[in-house]
Amino acid sequence: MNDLIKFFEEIGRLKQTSRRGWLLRKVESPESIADHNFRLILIGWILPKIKKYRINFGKLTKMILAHDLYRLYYGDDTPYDFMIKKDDQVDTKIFEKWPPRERPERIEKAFEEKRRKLKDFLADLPTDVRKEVLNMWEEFEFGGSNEAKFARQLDRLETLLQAIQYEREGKEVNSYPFWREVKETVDHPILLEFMEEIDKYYYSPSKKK
Amino acid sequence: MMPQLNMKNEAIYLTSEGLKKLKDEYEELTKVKRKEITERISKAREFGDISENSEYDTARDEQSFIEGRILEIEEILKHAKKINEGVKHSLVEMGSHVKVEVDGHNDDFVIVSSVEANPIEGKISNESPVGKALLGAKIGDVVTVASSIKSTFKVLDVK
Repeated sequence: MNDLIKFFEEIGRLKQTSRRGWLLRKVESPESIADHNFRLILIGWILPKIKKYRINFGKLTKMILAHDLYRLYYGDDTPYDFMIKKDDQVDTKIFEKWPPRERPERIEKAFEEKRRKLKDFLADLPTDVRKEVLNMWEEFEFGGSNEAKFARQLDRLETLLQAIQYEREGKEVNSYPFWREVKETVDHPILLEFMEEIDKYYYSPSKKK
Repeated sequence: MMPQLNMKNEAIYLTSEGLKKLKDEYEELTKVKRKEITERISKAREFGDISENSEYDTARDEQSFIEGRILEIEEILKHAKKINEGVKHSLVEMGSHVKVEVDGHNDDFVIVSSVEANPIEGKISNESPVGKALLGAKIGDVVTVASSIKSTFKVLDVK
């Protein structure tokens, strides 16, 4: 039981860990990684229900809960990292555009490192639990299942939603690159509809700043 | 749970790489994973009362997921159509390699079906807003992806 308590204590750090992408953009007291996961699960629960779309919610939830665990040991990486110095000092102008694509070999190397760190983190858990968490993480990263694709795309849309909220609150966040990303990434019918609804909600003439 | 894919019974276009990947996954699921999970379930039964047996529940969950994915892949393979690769086209179509200029830098995309889309690798789904907008474009075209926040892609090359 001691190992389990230690594990839960470590997990608790995700509640206090601010998402680095927002910190780099100089957002004060931004959401934590756990905050992001919380809303992802809620949207993943409610949206398919409203749209009458059948999805394995248990699987979806497990994948979402597993997808950011590696960040505790690996660090909170962002797509801009290869343009950022080690001390996180950055010209925030880079966040006005979506960054160029990383080379495949770098992505592969980073994935292996993330997997290794996650395995270390899970090492003291019972074998079946450890395997399940690792499987869920891999499924989220690479899986072709409906739930995996839905979870990955929703992950991007939730981040877009947060970017728009910060932008509207006057924080130094430009939602343009997040829009560009979702337009390349999202193709799930339910999420395409959701994306259009986000667009209408925030950008219809009555809502514009 | 039955897969909800391709309810319209349309052809699903796949590159030869995508088709192979899917067939490999199917083999792995039906010949390895299915057997493994059946063994795990029978082992879990040995732990006693299945109504209070978390290993049994986890394994049954896993089994339902594996079977769901097998059905999904069977459905895809039933409708799969191989993309004719290596043929130069003047217009962007399924399987096209497209070089674009966007946000002041160049990017390379391959237009694929939703099944093999992987935006991190530049494999863009034909059902995504960018994929849809690029389909049918030719070299020199400037394509704007519609929404309130617009992004513009200049087509530099199509292969």
